[in-house]
Amino acid sequence: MNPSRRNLLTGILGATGFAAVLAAGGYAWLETGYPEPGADGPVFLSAKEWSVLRALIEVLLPGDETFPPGLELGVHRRIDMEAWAADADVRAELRALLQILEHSPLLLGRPTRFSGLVPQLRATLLDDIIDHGPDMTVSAVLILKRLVHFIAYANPEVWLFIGYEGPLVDVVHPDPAQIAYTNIREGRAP
Amino acid sequence: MIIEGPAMERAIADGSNADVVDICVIGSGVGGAVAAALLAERGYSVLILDQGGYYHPARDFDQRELHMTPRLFGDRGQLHSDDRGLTLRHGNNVGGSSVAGWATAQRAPEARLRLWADRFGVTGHAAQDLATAYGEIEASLGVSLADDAHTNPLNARLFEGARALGWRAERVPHARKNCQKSGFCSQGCVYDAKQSMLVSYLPRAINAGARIYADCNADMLLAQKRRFDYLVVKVVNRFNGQPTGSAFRVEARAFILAAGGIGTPTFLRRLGLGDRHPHVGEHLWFNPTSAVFGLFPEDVGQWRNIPAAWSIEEFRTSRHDPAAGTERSAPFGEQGAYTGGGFGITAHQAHPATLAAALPGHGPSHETLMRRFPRIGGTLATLDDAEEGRLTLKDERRRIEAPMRGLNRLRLLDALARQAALLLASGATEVLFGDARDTRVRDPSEIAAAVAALSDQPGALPLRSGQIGGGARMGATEKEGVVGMDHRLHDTDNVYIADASVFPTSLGVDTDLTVMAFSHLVANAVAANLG
Repeated sequence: MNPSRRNLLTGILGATGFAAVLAAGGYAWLETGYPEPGADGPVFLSAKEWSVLRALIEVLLPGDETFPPGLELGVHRRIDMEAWAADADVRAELRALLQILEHSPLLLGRPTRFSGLVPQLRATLLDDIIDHGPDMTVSAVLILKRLVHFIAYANPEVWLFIGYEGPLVDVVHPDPAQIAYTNIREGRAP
Repeated sequence: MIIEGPAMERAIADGSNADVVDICVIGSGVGGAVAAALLAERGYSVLILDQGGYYHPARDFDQRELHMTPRLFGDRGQLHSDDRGLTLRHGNNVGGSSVAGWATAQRAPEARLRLWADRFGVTGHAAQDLATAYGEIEASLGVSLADDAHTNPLNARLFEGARALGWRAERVPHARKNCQKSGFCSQGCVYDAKQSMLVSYLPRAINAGARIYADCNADMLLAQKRRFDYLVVKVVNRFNGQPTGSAFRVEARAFILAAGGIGTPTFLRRLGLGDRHPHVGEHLWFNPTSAVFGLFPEDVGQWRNIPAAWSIEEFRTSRHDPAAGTERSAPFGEQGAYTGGGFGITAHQAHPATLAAALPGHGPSHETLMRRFPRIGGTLATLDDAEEGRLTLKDERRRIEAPMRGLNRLRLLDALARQAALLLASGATEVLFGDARDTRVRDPSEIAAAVAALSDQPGALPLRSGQIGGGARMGATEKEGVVGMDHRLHDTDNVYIADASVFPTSLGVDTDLTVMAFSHLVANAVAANLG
C-alpha cells in the first residue's frame, strides 16, 4: 500500500470513527439524562416523554393561589392513559409530537431541550414557536396544547373557578379505559 | 339482541365461532342502522357489527366530556389529518356518530343532487327519488323546526345579529322528541330524546329480529371471484380497541359496508381493493368547521338547550364572478373568480373542555379567558369543501390528506370574516379567531385586515371535521366510481356501501338525513338482489 492510499484509508477510518462518536454523543444527548419517574410514573410513556409532558403542562397550566395547576389536576397522568388506550396510529403520533416539542429549540437554533429550560423560558419558547416556528413545530405544539387544555378543563375541580354549573346527572361513569388503566397501576388485571 | 365483547368471547370459547345470516351490516351508524332495520323488517336475517362499544344512556352516559369523548369517537377523538391541520371526529360506538351528533336533519339541497347527476352521471338520486324516504325518516325521527323553546340565549342573539346585518337565517330542522333542553347533545343524550340510532332505527332492527355485536372489528372479507362469502371478525377490548385474540366468521349472502367516511375506505384499502378500484380513498371531503368566539358583556348560556336553533343561510352558496377569470379548482362547475360564500353558520355549543381546547393562549392568558366562560359565545361555520382529500395506507397506518388550500382557504377566510361580523352584530364586545396568535377584533372595520393576516400554517386555527365522506364515491362504471347507482361495489355481486363515502362531493349541509335516505335505496337494492 503506498503512503497516499494509506493516508486516505486512515483518514476515512478516522472520519468514520469521529462521526460514530458524534452520533453516539448526539444520541446520548437526545435520549438520556431524563429522571426515572419512580413508582408513581407512567404506564405507557417513557421517562423522556413523561418529562417533556410534565414540562409542557407546567407552563400551559401553571395555576396560582386561586386556580389549581395542571400537574395537580393529574393532566399528565390522563394523557399517559390516553396513549396507553389508543391504537398504534394515535400512540405513534403522540410520541412524535412530544419528540418534536422536546427538540424544537434545535429547530430554532438553540442547542438545548424544551424540558431543560426553566418555566419562563419554556413559555417564551412556546410563543416563539407559535410566532415563527416551522409548520411541524407549530402544529405539534398546538395539538399538544389543545389536548392538555381539553383534559384540564374536563376536570370538575376547575369548574367552580370558571362558572360552569356542570352536568345535570350526578352518577359518574368513567370510561372503560380509565378503569382498566387504574387497575394496571394498582397491580390488578385490566 | 345486543351482544358485547366479553359475551362474544365466552360464546367463542364455548365453540360458537360462526354465524350464517342473509345480510351482514358493518357499522351501526345512520347508514347501517337504517339499512339493517328496513331489511330486517322485510324478513331477512340481519347481523350488525360495530367495532365500538355499546353504551346504554342510563348505564353509561354521564354528560362529562372526559368520559364520553373516548367512548363515542374513534381514535378517542385524537385523530388528525396528516399535516395536523384538521381534527377528525368520527363515531365509534353502537349508533355511530348519531349518538354524539347535533341531530340536525337537513335534506340535501336540490342543486347539489342535480350537480351529481350532471357532472358525475348519478341517476336515481334526484330530490323526487328521495322524497318518500326523506318523508318516512322525518316522520320516524319526529323532525321539526327548532322553535323558540329550543333557542338558547346565544342562538337568540345570533338571530338578532343576522337580522341587523340583513342576512337570511332559518330555523334548523332537528330530530328530537320530548327534549329536556339540557345541552349535553354532544355527550350522548341521557334522556333518550335526541333521535340517534340508539333510540330509533337500531331498536326497530332488533324488534324485527336483527342482532348487534358490539366490540367486533370486521377484519377480512373473503371472496370467490365476484362474490364475497365470509367475513372474519375479531373481538376487541373495549378499553383499548386492541384484538382480544378471539375471532369468528360470518357467512352472509350480502354485506353492507357502513363504517363511515374514514372506516369504509380504510376497510376497502386493507382488503386490497384500492388496486382494483382507483377511486377508493380518493375524493375525500370533510365539511371542515371553523370556530370563532365572542366575548359578551353578560352570560349567553351557550351550553344549555339544543346547540343550533338558527342557521345563517345567507352564504350557503358559493359565489363567483365570471368576468374575473376562473378558479384553479372548480369542482362544482363554478365559473369565475370566487367572491364569497360556500358555508353555513350556526351557534357553537362547547362545554369547558371543548372550549378550552379551542381558545388561544396558554398560562395566565388562557386561564383569564376561561374565567369568562359563561360570557363566551361561539359560532361555527361549516365549509362546503372544494379541494379533495385522500386516505391511503402506509405500513397499515392511515394517512389522511385534508387540504385547506385553494378555494377551501378562500372560503375559510370569508367564513371567518362573516362569523366575526355576526358576533359583533350580536353584541360581542370582542371577537377571537381562535388562532394560535390570538387575533382579536373589536370593531367591524378591523375584520378584513385581521383575517388577511391570519396564518395559513396547518393547525394555526382550531379546525375540526365531524362529517367525512367521498372515499368510495358513486359512478356509473368502475372508471368513474367505486359503487354503482345501486350502491353495489363495482365488480362484485354482493357488497354494498351505505354511508357518506358514496357521495361524489360534499353535500353542503348536514349529511345524516341524506345518508339515511340513501340507505332506503341500498335496502331496496339488496332486497332485489337477494329476492
